[in-house]
Amino acid sequence: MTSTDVLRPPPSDIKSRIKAWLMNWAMAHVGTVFRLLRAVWPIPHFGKFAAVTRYDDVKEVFASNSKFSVTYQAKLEVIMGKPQFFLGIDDDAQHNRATDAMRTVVRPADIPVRLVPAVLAAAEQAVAKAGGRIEVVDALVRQVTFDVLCDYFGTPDPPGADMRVWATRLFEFQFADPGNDPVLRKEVDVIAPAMQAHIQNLIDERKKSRGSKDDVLGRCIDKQAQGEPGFSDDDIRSALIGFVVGGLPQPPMVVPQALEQLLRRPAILAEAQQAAKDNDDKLLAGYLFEAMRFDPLAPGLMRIAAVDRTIAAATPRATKVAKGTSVLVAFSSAMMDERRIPEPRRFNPRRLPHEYMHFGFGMHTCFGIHINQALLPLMLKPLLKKDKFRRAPGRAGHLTKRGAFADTLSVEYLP
Amino acid sequence: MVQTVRTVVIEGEPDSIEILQKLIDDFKAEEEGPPPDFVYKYDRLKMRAPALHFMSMSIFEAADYDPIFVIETNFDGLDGPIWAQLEAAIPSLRAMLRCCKRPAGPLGDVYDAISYRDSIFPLAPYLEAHMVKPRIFHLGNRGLDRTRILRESELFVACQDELMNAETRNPNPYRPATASEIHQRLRAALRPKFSWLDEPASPRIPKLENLTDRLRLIGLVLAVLLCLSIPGLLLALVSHSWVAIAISLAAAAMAARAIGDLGDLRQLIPKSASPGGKLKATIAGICGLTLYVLVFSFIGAAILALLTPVTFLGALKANFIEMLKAALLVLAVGLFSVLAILWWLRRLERRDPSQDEPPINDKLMREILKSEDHIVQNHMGSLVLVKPGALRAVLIRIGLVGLGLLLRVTARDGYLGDMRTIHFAHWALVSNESRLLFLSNFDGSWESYLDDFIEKAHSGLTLAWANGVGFPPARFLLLEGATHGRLFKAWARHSMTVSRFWFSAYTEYSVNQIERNAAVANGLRRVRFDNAEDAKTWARNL
Amino acid sequence: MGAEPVKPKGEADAGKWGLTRPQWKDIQSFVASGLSQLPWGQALFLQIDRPGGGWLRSLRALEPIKKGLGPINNADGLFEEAVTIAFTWTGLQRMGLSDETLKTFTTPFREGMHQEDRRRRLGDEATRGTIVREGLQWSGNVPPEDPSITPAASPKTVHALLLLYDWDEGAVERWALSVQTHLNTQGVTVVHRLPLSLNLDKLDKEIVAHEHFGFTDGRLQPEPYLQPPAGNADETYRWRGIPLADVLLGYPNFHNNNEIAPCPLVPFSDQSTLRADGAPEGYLNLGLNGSYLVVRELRQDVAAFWSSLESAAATMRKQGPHSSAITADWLAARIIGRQLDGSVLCPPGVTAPQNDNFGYLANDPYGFGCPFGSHVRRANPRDGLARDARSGPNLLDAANHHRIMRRGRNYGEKIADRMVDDGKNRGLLFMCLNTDIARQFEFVQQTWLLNPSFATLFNETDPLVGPKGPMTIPEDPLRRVIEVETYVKLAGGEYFFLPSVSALDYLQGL
Repeated sequence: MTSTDVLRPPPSDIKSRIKAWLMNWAMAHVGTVFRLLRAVWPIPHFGKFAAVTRYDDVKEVFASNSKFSVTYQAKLEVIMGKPQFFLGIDDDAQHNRATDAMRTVVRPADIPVRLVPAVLAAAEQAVAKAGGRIEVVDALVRQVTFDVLCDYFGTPDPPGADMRVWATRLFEFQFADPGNDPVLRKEVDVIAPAMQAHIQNLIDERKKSRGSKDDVLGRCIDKQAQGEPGFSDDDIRSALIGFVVGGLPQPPMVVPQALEQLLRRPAILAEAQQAAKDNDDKLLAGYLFEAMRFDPLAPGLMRIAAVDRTIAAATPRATKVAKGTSVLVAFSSAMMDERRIPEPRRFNPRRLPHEYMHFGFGMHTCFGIHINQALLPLMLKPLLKKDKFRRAPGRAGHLTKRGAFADTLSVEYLP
Repeated sequence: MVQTVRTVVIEGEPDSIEILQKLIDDFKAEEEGPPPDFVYKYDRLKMRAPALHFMSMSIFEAADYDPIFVIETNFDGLDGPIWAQLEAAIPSLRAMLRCCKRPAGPLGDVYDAISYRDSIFPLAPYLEAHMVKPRIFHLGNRGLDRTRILRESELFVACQDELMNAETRNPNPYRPATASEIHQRLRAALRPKFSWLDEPASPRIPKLENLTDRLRLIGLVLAVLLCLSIPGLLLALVSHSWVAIAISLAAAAMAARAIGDLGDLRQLIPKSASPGGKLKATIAGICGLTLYVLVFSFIGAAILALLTPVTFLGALKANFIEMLKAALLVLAVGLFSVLAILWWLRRLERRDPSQDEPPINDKLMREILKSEDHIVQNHMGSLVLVKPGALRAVLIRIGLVGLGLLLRVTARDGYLGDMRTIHFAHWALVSNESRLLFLSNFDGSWESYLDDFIEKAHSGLTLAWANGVGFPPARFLLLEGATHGRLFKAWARHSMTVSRFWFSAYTEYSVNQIERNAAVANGLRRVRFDNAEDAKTWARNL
Repeated sequence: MGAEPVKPKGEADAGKWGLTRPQWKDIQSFVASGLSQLPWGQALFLQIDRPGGGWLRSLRALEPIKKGLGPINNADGLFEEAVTIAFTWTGLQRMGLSDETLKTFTTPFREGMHQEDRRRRLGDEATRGTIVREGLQWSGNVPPEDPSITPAASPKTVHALLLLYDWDEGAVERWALSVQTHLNTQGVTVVHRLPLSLNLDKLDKEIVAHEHFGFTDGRLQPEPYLQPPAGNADETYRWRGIPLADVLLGYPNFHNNNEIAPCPLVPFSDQSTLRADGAPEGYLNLGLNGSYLVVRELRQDVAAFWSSLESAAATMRKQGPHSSAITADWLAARIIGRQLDGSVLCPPGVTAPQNDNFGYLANDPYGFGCPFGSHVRRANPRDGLARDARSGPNLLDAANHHRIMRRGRNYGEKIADRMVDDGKNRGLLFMCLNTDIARQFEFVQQTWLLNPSFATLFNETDPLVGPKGPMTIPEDPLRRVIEVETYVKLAGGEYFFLPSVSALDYLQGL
């Protein structure tokens, strides 16, 4: 049906390869471009496209969800079918009803008692199993993420297929396919119905064995049985697909990217390792999210102007964008804006929460923000605790990317 | 690291002022709680706004203006990040801004965006839009960032503890030791806990900052001299004969005579100046004047050349005397200009109404007194009207900027005159520059602060404040004024409002003590003292 | 702490401070001198139960008050008794002074010493351990201006202070009792009475006063002048000169503006002996030749003071040979800032100045002789707060703007053995004259004595009158720090108005 590799193979033809290489190069230097833009042309605007690069403007666009709508709905429908997932909703009340309902089943209380120990155990196991050398992207982070969270959500691998592949492919389609690659679409057209069927199947089965397992799916079924609104089969299915597709492919991107940033700064890496050894999880998280600031998930997110609107009103850079304009909300640039972030080019593990926008801002702030904030650093913790932690020799020891995704990064340590 | 002073001034909505007051009071109560999840008073603000040294929030009410909401911030680094920090640190900030007027123009739209119910629209740009830069500010511990102040204080306390513990030992190992040995022993005891002692301290005033300050001061002086020379230059276009020079000098002398009390400016010469010092000052003055004549004879000639090429060619062919004559004329007319301005100023000063018994709001005064003298430092916020008139408008700007630059260049060790009790103080022009706002964070009581002004720094203070309506009578902008101690205190009190919310990041440390902590830390950063005298001097700080 | 040095009897007081003989006639004797010729005294704290000034008239008619109350009468070169009277704000109100007049008194007097913010500034909060265990005993109980504030009341309310000085201990006590009996008939109760003394002792041919801890007292007084002396020739004026306006109301103040500070005023009347001097049109000057008197009853625990110093000295001696010379006397001298015999503490190798005309900057800049934190150096830092020689004169001038004229006396009997607590009540009735309470007495108390950042010190206050805490004794190469308890505690206190003779005439006519 589709390829069994988690990431799609690199393009084979020369043209696409040059394009991919150029893309990679551009991505590597996007920070410099943004820095320049922030100074001289903070809101670049041509035709139906605009971008916001300064912290204030990024926050403004994120905050004005009624004026700048999300662009997810069309592709979400391809992935999930008709029923709405909250990611695609712009209306505050409707959106919050949906997320509030889901927060009753994805509970903050689960993090310390269930998810944290599970992630630590899984990561430790992965590191132990690997001996003295491990590939971080797949063998550690992706493995741990999917193992722990699929168990938590109640969404095991479909029979004969790999959830990691399905989720990653659908994620790419939803979030990292601005060019609408027909090849990818072909795969999605196969995976999406299969995914829906698989989850529906899980729902149906669980209805028969209610109470057999305390996971998100089980709680949803209970809520449905209690007649609570927001827990129809469609709601449950969309939410679970949303969690798996929207959430799980991200840690394997950002965590290895953060590790790569740490590896580039040996003194800071040593401090981060010390924090891991001291079991100072708060400080360790500080290192991880600060490292992520230097190579975040993406340069930005897209929004569409729903009305004619002036961004950064009453400032010299005030820019009027017409209804329908696509706006790149460059949160990566916002986190480097010295107008609001003190000494942005300095690595500072003790930054304040408001200096980060890894999880967006406003209504569409990442639903899994609390889970991610707690779990992402722990995925690396067992590894960082190891002595003689270092890059693997050769190219394997440096992070490679494939498109928007982290591909490989191997490290060595004293087992 | 550089420290910055910025103040946000927003017009309050008169009907909502009581709500605003309550919001500020509630915020204070919350911070003093301390807030949930925080152990110490003001820790939330301290942690969420890590650049902040001092901050205040006050409301100034006045008979002829709507109330204004003033947020004073004194912080590390350049401005910008502080507004985002405040937004994150003050949960009720948005509600406070809702109690302010909707501004006219495009900023009104931003007001709508930040103030609707449940808005999360960023506040930082709105605050920044209302930000006022100080015309003059003074820093007590220039170049010491908050982190450094706090950790050097911690080190000082650790030193005291170490030495205190030793006092009970028998025998005390520190007692028979020399200063160098004390240094070695203390360093060995404290280094494990204070690993930063091995890092070199960053320079407090970077060379570039130093250079810019000096250049800006020189630039200002030159600009003022140039302006004063303009009449002379214009006159030199027409004639530059000895007669014209003599007439100008005579006019200057007449102006001086008309002023009458010009000689009293001698009071500005410090009483304690030694004869040698006076001689030096005289020589420096003469050299300066000569330099001025030479420079401006050149500039004057150049400008003449531009305007009247024929004359210039003629002048070139003529001898140096012609050039010098023109320069002397410029100087003589310049001298006349200065004296004419002084005469005009004295005329204004003689007619200035001063307010001997300004009305004082007893209830407000009660609140002010109640808020004072709780920690080592105190806060003062004052707002006065600016005296009208063209000359005043010019003098207040040049005076404040000039004094500010002079302080940047000369008052680098925190001493203002003979006083060193100010952490952060500044003057700013607000309400479309019709009012002069003064905000200060100082050590000791208000009485002692004002007495310091009266006794130790009255000239500078008078220069800055004598342009305020009702200020006690001053002469030449520098003399008397603040020395009318009782009048000055009454005037200052009446101009104040209560500092409803006031935050200090280091409540126990005076300017002097912070310098002492820094001296102790600097000593301990050294591996050893090679010179016994240096060690002794250092040990006196312990 | 305490009174002026003993002077030979009959010193010519006319012409003193630049005032003429007629001017002196209007001034209560207490202002002019510490009256050390009359070493025994009684302080009667009066509560006026009946409105009006009639009691004052009858009191002034009483012999020997008639003779003693008023100016120093040295027509015969001698006088055998002296009487001083001063009033609190509540006392003046009780006597019937109009609200309009009461408003013209200075704010600290109007609010009283125990207004809550003032208490904080003066360090008189019970939580600081500077108040006697049983709490404040007496004050004027001035009601707060804002009726919503609950007044900090003391059990005894004092409306006036009557001081009787005599040369004989028994005589003054008998006198006090007879006055008390007389006052009772006039509707005035003596709510509190303290026997006063100077603890005179003969020391090197000179008779000197001592306070209860045993220190010679009363050496350091400012020297008022009416006209600034010309030139810098006079050392006394240079070091100790203060404008007369800082001691007496109604005279031109310092600085170049010769301004007269506002005085309490009464409406103009032809009959009054009061003068208009400096008063606005339509008023007479009630304050002229009067002053404000700050009174604080400070209880001293002599035995505890000395035993704590003995034990502290013993602990310090254990530190090694460098500390072997430390005794309780040595520590006490550092706390006070003078030797027991009153001589100046100087760094090793510096000769002690023989009179009071000296600064710290030249001889003792680091406090190696007289510690920065010692009581005497805090109470009058002279030029010692200057950062360098250049700023010395300016800082000396600045310090001299905050001087007070001390007129205190001991109360209670001298302790027999300073190490043995005899359970008796003793201390200092601190009294000082000043015209601007905020700038003078309160400034000294708050900005010098109780300032935790005084000079270059950190987190320590006056070792004598401040709360318990450390005190630094500078020494090369390493300072010593001792912990000092509070052995001087406030038992009562208030601000009084000390009227001129003509103002007394006015008041008795109320």
